[in-house]
Amino acid sequence: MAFELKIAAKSPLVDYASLIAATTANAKSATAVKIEFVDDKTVDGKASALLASGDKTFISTAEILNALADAFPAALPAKEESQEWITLSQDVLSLKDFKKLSEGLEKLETRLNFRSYLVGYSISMADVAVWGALRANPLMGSVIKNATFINVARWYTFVETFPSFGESVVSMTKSVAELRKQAKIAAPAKKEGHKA
Amino acid sequence: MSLSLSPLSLSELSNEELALSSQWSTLSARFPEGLDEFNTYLKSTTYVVGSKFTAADVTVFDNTWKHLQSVSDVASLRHVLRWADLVQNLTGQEKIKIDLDAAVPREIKV
Repeated sequence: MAFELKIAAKSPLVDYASLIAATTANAKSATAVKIEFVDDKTVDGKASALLASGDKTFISTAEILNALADAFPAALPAKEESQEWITLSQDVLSLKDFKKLSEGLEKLETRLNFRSYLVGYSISMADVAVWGALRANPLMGSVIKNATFINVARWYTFVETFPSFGESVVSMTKSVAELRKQAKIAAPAKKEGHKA
Repeated sequence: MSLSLSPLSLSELSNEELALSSQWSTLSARFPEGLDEFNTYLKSTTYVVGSKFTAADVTVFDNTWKHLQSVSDVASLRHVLRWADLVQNLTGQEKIKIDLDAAVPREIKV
């Protein structure tokens, strides 16, 4: 079954986790998920991302990640062990309330005391969900830069080096810039008047 | 769970990466002297050479694991233990037992 993922580029919390999950699946088989960017706050008037497969649709990040994990278990392993991290990423790590966000970061910091990845010894669904949520959270830039949470900062910069993570975010930004350019060409904002 | 991932050989590294690799390979021969510095170094880097698993990790691990067999204060060497656990799992040669959920106080940035 073919998958199509739409991501709203202007969402206040861009669904990077779904983007990364789809990109990770595509790394194993190039045509697994067709990814499309929508230059708007939502993809359908409500959701920041939407995954469609046949007549099924998935809208929350957790639903999208789990649907992709079911379809591509080799690319997105450790579905069961990742659930608590998916929940934390959506319920806490996406918050723009620094006090609550910090409580979530404390949990991550503890988890990463003796671990290099959140689950096991390679990238799993948990890393995808948490990294995506933190990347989208505007409060996180300075937290990572200042390494207030030492383990979280190390893990974050490490995971970012995987092409499905750092590069896919950069490539999304480029694609969206290209979309805007084309939209401008198709419909010029204002007709230039002749100057006398 | 072991993946037996093969490390990057030194010929695949940049000059700067090679310098790090040779620095820690040399220093690790003198462990436990300098083990604390290695721990501090690993606060911000996953492997000996940044984010790449290289032959340097295997060399340094060979010099390190015997000093980690009975660590009484795991908090003070948490980064070395984290790295050692990763390396021994990637190479499939488990030498030391590490409690991944050991309770240690949160480390405050200095």
